[in-house]
Amino acid sequence: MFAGTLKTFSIISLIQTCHNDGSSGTIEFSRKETVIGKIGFEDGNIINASFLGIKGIGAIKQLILLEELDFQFNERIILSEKNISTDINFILIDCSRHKDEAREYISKIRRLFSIKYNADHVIFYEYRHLVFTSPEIFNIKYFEEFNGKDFTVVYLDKNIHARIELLFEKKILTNDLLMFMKSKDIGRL
Amino acid sequence: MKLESNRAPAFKFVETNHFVKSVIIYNNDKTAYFPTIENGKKLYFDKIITLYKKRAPGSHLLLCTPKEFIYLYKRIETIYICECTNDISVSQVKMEFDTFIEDSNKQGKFPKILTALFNR
Repeated sequence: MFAGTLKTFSIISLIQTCHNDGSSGTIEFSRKETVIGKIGFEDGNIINASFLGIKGIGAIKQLILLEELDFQFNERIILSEKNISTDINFILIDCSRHKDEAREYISKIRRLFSIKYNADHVIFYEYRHLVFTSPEIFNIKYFEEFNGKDFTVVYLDKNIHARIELLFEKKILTNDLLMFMKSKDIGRL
Repeated sequence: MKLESNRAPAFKFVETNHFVKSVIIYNNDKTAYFPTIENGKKLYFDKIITLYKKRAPGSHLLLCTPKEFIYLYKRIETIYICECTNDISVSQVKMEFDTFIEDSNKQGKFPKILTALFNR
């Protein structure tokens, strides 16, 4: 059993390690001790992945964009459901490409929101808020929070199917923001 | 403000606004649901309420899903949550619910004012 954080160990490296070792078991990804994602292995091959209601390779593509999750490999957890049958080398290439494209895309989004709204930061959302941990109850496409000081928005970007967090210096009218996202063809409700 | 004083206005708000599915009010360690909601959602909202107990008054939260809007507003020590369908605009949801919160608080204060007047 090994554990750590994605800040110091990338998912690509994790997958390669499990593959080279011919491991069977599950890597659990958690935030504040709540498991929000899993990648299951059988004899070094990925057989299952899930992340907050997303299943299959799409789940790995979401997880690969994040850096603030903790992970733990547990060989005692063997997932029975198989939702991935793709060759592991193809998965690694596909996910690496997705990560590069997503990084390029978020630079474009950063420029877009900085010009229009003077956004403080634009990053991939790291699932800090518990509202996202129950997608079976509420599948959230847009999140907005004002805590008396900061105005934070998290939206599901339709082009990369990932959540992006925006932090603004002041409150912005929700309708204005939603219309802007619609006009730029990035948000989806 | 007593939680019971909100019972009638909250039910009336749900009944008179077709887009409102439920209203949840937390005050003084008690949570009231208008009307009652399923247990899964109750647990979900309870977690959010626990989080917002620590937040500053005036804080708000808005969630949009393919089916509904959920709007939370913290006024002094009370947390108000409104679950709505999404067939109206977000701004209208906010406006209607903010008005409801202000109105229900004004109503809560009337008896105190009247009592004070009668005691003179």
